[in-house]
Amino acid sequence: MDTKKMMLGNEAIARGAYEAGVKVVAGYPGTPSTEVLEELAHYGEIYTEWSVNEKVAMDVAIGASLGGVRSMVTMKHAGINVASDPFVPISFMGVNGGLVLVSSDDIGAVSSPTEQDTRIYAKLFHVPMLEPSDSQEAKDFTVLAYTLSERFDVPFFFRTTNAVSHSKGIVRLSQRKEKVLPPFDRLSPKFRPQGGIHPIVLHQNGFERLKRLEKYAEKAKINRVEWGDRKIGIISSGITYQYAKEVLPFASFLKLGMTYPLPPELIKLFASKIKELYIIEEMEPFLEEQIRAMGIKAKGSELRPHAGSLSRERLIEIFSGTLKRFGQKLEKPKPPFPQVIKRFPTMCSGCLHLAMYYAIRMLRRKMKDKDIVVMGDIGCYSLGIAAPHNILGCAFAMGSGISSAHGLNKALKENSDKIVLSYIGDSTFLHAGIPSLLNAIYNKSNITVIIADNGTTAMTGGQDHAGTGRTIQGEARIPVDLKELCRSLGVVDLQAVDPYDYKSAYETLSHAVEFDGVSVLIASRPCVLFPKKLKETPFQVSPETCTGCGMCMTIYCPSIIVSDKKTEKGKYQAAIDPYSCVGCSFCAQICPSQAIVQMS
Amino acid sequence: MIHSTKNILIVGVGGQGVILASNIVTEVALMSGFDVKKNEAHGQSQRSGSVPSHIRYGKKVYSPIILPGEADVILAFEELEALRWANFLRPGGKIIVNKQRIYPPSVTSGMDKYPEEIIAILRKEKIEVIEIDGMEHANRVGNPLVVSTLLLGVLSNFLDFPEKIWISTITQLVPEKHRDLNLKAFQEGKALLRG
Repeated sequence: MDTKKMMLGNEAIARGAYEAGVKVVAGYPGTPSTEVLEELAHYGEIYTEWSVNEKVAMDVAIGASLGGVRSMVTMKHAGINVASDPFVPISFMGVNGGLVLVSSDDIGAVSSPTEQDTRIYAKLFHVPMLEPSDSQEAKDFTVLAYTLSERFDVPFFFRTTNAVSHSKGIVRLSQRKEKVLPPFDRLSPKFRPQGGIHPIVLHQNGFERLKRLEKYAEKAKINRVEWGDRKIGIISSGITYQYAKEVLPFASFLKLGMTYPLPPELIKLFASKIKELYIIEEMEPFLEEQIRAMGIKAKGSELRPHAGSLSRERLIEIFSGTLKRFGQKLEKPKPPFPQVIKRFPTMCSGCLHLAMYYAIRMLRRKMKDKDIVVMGDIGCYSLGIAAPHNILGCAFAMGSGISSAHGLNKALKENSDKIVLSYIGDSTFLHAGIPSLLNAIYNKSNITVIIADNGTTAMTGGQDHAGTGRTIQGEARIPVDLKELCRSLGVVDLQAVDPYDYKSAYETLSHAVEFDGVSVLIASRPCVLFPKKLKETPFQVSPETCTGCGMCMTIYCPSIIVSDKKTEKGKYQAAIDPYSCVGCSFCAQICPSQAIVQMS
Repeated sequence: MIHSTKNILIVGVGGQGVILASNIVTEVALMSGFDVKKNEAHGQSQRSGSVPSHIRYGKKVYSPIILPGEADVILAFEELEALRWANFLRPGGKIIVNKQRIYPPSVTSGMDKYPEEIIAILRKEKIEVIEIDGMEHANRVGNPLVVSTLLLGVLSNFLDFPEKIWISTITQLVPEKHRDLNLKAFQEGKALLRG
């Protein structure tokens, strides 16, 4: 039976891996890639894990490939930076079972501190790259990647962008087929780059393999020409192909499914029949530079921005002259209504970060003569960089808060007015914070590290990690003990605090910053959303007692609102939304007039 | 631009059920024999952000994303979100607005003002607004939780899908214990426009 299903691009990649008989998949959560592994965990035949970080996940998939099974590793664009170390040698060594690295690029940095075009890695790794443009291709290309990975003895780079990963489309399903592969041979020289073949030979082999892949690309069905009007020709791939196809339905297209290495003969043939040639791609001029190096004249990056997504709207602007010539009437789209106000994502009611931010804010207020700098990290708490929180100085890469705080401390003079803190979540700490902390301790730093432990990977939707005591398949494990871990790294001033207990958390923090050396505060409270939504009896503001002082408003809890009631002195009183309040009690501890009480 | 593709935009605030509602619509479109694509914003939905879900169906759909001026119908679960996305309507398009206000933190903390008279602002621009008090009707059906299914019933009047496919899809996608209630809510919503 022909079964059709609506699937996200990410779900379709997972389905492709399932149908290709993949047996081992590892990854680290990161928007927009997370759903690939989450979906794969539903297939009982496949071993899946959230690894501690992307490099580790990459190693797990490499080991599985050497062991003779098809394997996959999943991550977001920034994860490739972490995983790139083992990827370079494995791309030269080759594979046993097919190996596919899935990277999803967050173009426009919707949920990332930066955007980057990971296609460039294909060139560095000397590996072939496939790029689907919709969900059906996401599944089909995944299956194809495994066949080709084994045929050409090379891992495949599978690159998507958020518009493909997070769009749904119709996918035709097939059955799973498991392939019997050669077993692991520990004596095979190809797996021993230092003991078998010299790295220079391997590197040279990498180039020659690319030549063979180039020949394949010339005839590959996934690189196809769609002839239309030959006055205008488009070379494109991924989501921009879909946009361009809709904007210029009359044009001729060379649609590339394999974007590295490119097929020079096919491109030259296509270009020779076209009057005006355009290369349509997002971000780096990756296709463009290679095509121009073939001696082909084409327009591309000079027409578009290099950063952010290249939307269909932008393409209509770029091709407005052509569209008019083809008789299309273009209307300027209406701008948004001016009365609209923004709705930013918020920290949740009862979030431990709001409580810790408040403690830091109060410490800043008390130590007026000092400048308290907080180096941030990657997670929900990255929102603390922006208003109204303004807590974190900066946050740029996983685990980098602790190590950069240490560097900052070394740069500042001993009697400086600067106090350096670092703020990191539990999942991020386990990902890359451990070596940073070890380094700071061993090299005698003078910083205070706050590990905000909410027991999950919250920002990406609540994935488990080595500290949660559960695996992605829901099996129980012994969680790492953060306190013991820190102690073993050499932390002397180590304190565990309950962020909901304001007085104690604030005092512990005040002492920690005075300590000469590295202090670590482990602030633990479960995330209010994951693994389950928390809700206790909500609190309320007593209108008889509230003086309208506004202290509770500076927690920036989304449940605390300005009411329309005024005090006798004309100050607006606070109120609490009972539906969103989770009953954490933090505001009741802050209120100087004891006007906040739990509902009975 | 003129396309044979039909564009439906479902918008709301994280937690209102926009994603489930749009999953039902895409499933109905698929079962009705159309090509269909959908794009949704992930990441903001859990944290009270604005959640748009783009649905496009027709003979052959390329881009999954709707542009300003293209939507045939917008279903807004919340008033401010209706205003935010209203410029996505094509000339002659319709907007269904659920009468519910969810104040962003900038409003509750007194920094911003929630726009008044949103329906009037839209009508002044000659936009056809279908105003629905979803909560009131859902309560009449027997449970405030079925607002989104009720709104899908209203929306179904503007789409090209057979009723029996709507019913079989809702039956399939909602939890069994709420099935009858959801089917009743769908019919109630559908009947609201029969006049």
